[in-house]
Amino acid sequence: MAKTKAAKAADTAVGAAKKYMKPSEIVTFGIGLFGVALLSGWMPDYTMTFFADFAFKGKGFDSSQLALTVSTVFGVAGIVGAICELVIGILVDRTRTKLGKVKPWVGFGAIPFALVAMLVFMAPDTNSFTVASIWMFVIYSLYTAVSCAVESPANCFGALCSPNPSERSSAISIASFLRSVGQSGGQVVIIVVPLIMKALMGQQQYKNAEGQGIDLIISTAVCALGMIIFVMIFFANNKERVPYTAEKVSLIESVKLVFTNKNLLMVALTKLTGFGRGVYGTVSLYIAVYLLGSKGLKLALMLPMGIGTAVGTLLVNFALKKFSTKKTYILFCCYGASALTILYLVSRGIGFNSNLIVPFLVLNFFCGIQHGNTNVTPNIMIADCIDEMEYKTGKRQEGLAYAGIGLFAKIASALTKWLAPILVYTWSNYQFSTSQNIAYATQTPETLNRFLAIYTIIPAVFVVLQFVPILFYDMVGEKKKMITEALIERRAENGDEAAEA
Amino acid sequence: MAKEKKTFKAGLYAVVVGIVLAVVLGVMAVCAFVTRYTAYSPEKVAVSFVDTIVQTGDGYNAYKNTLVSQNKKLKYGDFIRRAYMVCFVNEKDANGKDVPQADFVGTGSEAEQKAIDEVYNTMYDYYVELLENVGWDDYETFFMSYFSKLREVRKQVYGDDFMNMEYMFGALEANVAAYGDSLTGTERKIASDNKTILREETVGKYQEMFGVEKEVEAENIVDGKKQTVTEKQLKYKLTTQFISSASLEPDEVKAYAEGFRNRIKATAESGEAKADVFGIKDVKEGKKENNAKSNMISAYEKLDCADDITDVKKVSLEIYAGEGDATKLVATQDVYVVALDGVWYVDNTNIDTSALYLAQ
Repeated sequence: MAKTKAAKAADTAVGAAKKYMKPSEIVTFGIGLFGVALLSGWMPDYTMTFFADFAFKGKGFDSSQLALTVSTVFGVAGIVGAICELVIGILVDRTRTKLGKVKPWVGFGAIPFALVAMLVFMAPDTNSFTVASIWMFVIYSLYTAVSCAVESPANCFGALCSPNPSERSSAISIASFLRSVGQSGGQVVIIVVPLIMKALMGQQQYKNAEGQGIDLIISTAVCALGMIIFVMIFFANNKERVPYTAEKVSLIESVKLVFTNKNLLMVALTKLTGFGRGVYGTVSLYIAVYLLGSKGLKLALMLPMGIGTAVGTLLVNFALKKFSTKKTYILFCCYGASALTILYLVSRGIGFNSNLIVPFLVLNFFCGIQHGNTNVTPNIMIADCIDEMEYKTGKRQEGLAYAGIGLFAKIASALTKWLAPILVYTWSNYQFSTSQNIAYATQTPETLNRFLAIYTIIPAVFVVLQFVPILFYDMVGEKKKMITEALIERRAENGDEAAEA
Repeated sequence: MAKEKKTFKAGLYAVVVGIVLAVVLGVMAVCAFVTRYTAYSPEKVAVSFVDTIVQTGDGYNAYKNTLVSQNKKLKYGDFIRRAYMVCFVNEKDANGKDVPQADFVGTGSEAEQKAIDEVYNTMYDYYVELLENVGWDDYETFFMSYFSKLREVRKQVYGDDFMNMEYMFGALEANVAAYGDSLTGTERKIASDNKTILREETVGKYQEMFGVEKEVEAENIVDGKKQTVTEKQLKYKLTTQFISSASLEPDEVKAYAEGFRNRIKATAESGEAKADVFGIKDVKEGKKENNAKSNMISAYEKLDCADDITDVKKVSLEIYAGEGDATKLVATQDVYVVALDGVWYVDNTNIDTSALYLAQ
């Protein structure tokens, strides 16, 4: 006998409320993402300094040529990453195994991920600049591809861990938090490893080892081992429970979708116009070395900014209740550019010396607030754009929209990775250390001032450029209200028709 | 009977991968460590020491590979602070008040930059004079003479009697770098406007001595714009090569350690007397303790590590200029390297590095 409407509804309610995941699974999902982020968060900046400052020290390579090559290596790797993101997305979609679709990529991919990461820090002993350049291109592109093959599927796991949306949301929230903690985990490793090395080797021998980049090699091994342990805990304890139902994403379709929707295109363009915002991340290592006295203190530099970002996320949610997404976005961009400009002016006023440390860290907190906006507001805008497309076409295409935006984000990331080393190593006239016993050479005041500019005023310019496309964004106010109401009405009608059928 | 279905055991896989990867990563890290770290190889330590002097005339940083730097609790820089700089520091007067500095200090003004340049330039001439007449082999005399002169020169130029350790390091390291540049030559430096030449290229002594004219690509201002042009420059290459090493027998090692003790004894015991000469005392100010005297005595005492010497090797090195058929021998150097707890150091107490200062 057919179930009554009420019985069906009751079944659905019970299904939605049922808990599928063991409490330990929620924790181990987070641990897995923490592990992946521990290594993937460690690699880019510390690889850059390893290639530029340590890998070929004493080989007599021309410093300007080396700087240019490092910039190109990271630019090319960024493009490789963008392509791999799409290719791996399609391959994951086609994966059918008893373990699931995502788990095999994470569980088996972790092995090459750890090994290739370690190989990045094992430079060949060569006097040939050509061999050195080819090695940097090959090994870092390979690393980018392998990391993409683990990181992208790992980030998808949340969608498959439980059919219960509420349980899934809590698992994703906890895992996302642990992932963001994991991204800074390497900065703790680079504090702890030198402490142990100093205790075992003595102060001067540690300095000599640091001059040869050995602390970076050991820290990479620790991060890689940590990744393996945490990912294996995840692999052993977690299950996929939802069939992977995402629509098939084709590159052409997703790009076409972005270009045929003006508002979505504007949101995507913010990624490109603001691509230079991220250059501060690369120079932060050198700010830590030359202002705070050690690369291990990058964490001290990033912590106030991270707290600022958390506060910024709360403030953005508050602002979104008062203003439209467009106004909120522009408001926070103007604030961000102003905060960075003030940090620049204060830094220039005080000078690059120990008196700057406290004001710099305090202002760094205020600079972090703007990141709350870039983390939250564009996602709401994308969701609004998907509503607009559904209103116009009758089709809801989240998968394509996110893939299209993701492609723009990856291209922007490639541009950031290309620009950052150009600014840090070439434009700032950075002096490479040629002594085996000195990790980082003394820099001129001009170079240090340019480091400050790369950390502050240059990102400020890109923050301003970032909101320019949003000036043409119009999915706000009456239009948004009308579309939302129309969609609710349409869904209600469709619901009634479905019920009648 | 139905065949038992083979199932993949994720837990077992995780444990095996964890253990295998821990071993593999450990081996890779150890290999990378041993390959790159010089102090576990007597030959590499000797080459690193000699090459630092050969390439840029930097006897100052070369000491990071020597027995001066074997004290596990002190960096080489901290040894210099405690043993030498402390004698010339003058930040507080007898009443604990700040020693006044010239008005322009900390302003970043042109007057301050001019004063710094004048002090550094005057000290550079003195540095070269010390290099020729004293040499880094006698680091004790070198440091004491240099810092004493620096305080004198600063007083003349700034008109104040202030001195701190950062200022001393700033001047000394600037002079060491400038001397290196005088040997290697420097590249043309173009301003960020891409129109102005900030500093013309300089030709170093090594370029004149060993250089061969080659066409190279360089940046220059042509028609008011920065362009990459092909120009002729003197290029040279100096290479330090390990030739041979000979281990000392156990009884020779013992005798060597005794010889080392005799050579270092006077210096190692000189801390207290020197502290008294310069009026350096241990002072307790409230909760703060300034153990300058104890630190100085300890820094000197720890130079005597004769009891810890477990192995000694004599390493022979040769320094060549040029490449291919044009390579010629320009210097030879023998050094004794000693092992303490498996870590090798160059013995700086029985070495004459004068042949490595090729431009002198």
